[in-house]
Amino acid sequence: MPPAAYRSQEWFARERGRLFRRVWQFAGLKTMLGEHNAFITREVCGVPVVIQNFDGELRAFENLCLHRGAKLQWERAGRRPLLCRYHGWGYDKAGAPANIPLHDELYRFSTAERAGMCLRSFALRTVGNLVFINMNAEPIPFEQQFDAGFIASLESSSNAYDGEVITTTWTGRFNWKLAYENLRDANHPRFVHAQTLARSVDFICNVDEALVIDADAEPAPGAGRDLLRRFSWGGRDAPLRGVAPYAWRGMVERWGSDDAYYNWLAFPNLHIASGDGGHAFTIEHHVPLAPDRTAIEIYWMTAKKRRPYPYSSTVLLALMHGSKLVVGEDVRVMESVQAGLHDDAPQGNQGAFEASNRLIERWYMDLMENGGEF
Amino acid sequence: MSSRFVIGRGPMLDIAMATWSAVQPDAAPARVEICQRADYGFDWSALDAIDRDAEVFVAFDETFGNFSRLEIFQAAIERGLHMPALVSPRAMVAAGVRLGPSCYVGDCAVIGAGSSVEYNSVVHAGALIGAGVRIKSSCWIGLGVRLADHAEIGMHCTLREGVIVAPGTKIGRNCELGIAGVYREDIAAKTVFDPRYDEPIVVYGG
Ligand code: FES
Ligand SMILES: [Fe+2]
Repeated sequence: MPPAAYRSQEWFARERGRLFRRVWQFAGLKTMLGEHNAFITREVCGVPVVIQNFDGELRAFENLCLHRGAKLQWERAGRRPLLCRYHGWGYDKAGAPANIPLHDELYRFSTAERAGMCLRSFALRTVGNLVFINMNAEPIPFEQQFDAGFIASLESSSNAYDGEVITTTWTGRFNWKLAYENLRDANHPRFVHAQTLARSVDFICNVDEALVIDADAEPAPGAGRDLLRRFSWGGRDAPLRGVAPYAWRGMVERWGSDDAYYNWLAFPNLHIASGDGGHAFTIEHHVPLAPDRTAIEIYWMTAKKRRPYPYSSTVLLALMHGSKLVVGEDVRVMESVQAGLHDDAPQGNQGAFEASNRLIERWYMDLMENGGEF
Repeated sequence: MSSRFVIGRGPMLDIAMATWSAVQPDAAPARVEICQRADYGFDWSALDAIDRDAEVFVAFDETFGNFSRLEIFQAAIERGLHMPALVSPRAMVAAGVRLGPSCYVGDCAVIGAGSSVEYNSVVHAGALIGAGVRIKSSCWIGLGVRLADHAEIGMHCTLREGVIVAPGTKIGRNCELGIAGVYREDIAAKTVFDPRYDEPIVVYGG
């Protein structure tokens, strides 16, 4: 892709409008939203968003009070009614300010004025334990973005997640697209992760002949809509050279029984993996902050515990440190690619094994330059 | 045959050996290395060879949230071994301070009146612990860490060099304060401040 796709502010803004505001994006974990009034907050496409549980129903709203714009929920996650701290306006599950303290004495809004007040809301969809939102007023069908088999695999595996979750965010100095390209490149682990991941997993890097033909073919008109589904896939990726018999692995309800490395890649910016045959799962969410800056939100959870054990959060921390090492290796490479880019930098020469990236690139460039097909 | 043993590994084993020698220069303890397998399970044969009623001190680092040291501690209890606290003669511990089994207080550490250190916790050399401070079990208080009066440190916390905890501040269990600086606000359990990360690592649920 041209260097501007990774560097230009104008491009970044256009991409936000044409891609991110139209696709379903990962927003969080249902396990963190299990009880009435549980909430999570985040920023999506520069918009502060709150996802809140109202008596078991999850709703996504813009996290800004309709009175004078204070944030409604301040913490990253917690449990609290949807209530503004500034002057106490309280909101119901429709997003209406159902309770305005001292309304008749101090505000005196007409019935019509009050009826017109409603928090901006966003479409929300859960798949197993994964929560997705869509920023568009008329969202594309979820099934247009992901195929049924992929959705079923996400649902089954994420339903195995335990409710105890460790999470952190770090900031990478690279464009988010370098991350999705890197994740669809099975030839890098043997070089980038030679001392870490590649010691325990034999990643299989094949040339997908059908994909090569499609990536090189002239696209049929109208084919763009169906292409989107082909950018996401998941499940068993590579065999493991054994799973170490750590004590904690005996204390969780493993998902499946395959000694395999599982990978789920959900376009545009979500990666889920289980590197130990379904005993633990990690979510990596690459959130674009600026053309050259990406938040890497990392989550880890084991499969459901059979019963609580005292050192479970220490297991999660050890898993997180593993990510720091391995994802850190990816981040270093991606940051070096980003740092080398300049307006006249040469474009890459991608090989047959990179057909899926070329297919995405063709669709993406059509979207960015011609408005594309959704 | 010695009836005093320091059991563990690494630098903490050396530190504890030196401290015990300073406490009792005429009766050096036996040094027992404990081995950990690739799956992190311990080989208990060294512990099994020790006679019941012997005195042991568990000298093990803060690995795995201090749970590895706790595992050895529990194995020693199960075998009927005695585990008094090990306090450097160069530490200054106020009268009445409660020190639990197998806890450690290093050279020049100061612990103020009314404080307590529960079992299996380590207070390294030079730590300054104020009055009325509570350090729960299986903690690791690094070199020179300062805990102001009435601070509370939950179990299994690791506080590294350069950490200062302000008066009355409560640190929840399983926290790691690894970034030097003053911690003035209460910290939720299972929060980790690690200098390699851009933001704190937090745990929800469970
Ligand atoms: S800004 Fe929210 S109630 Fe005033
Ligand atoms: Fe990688």
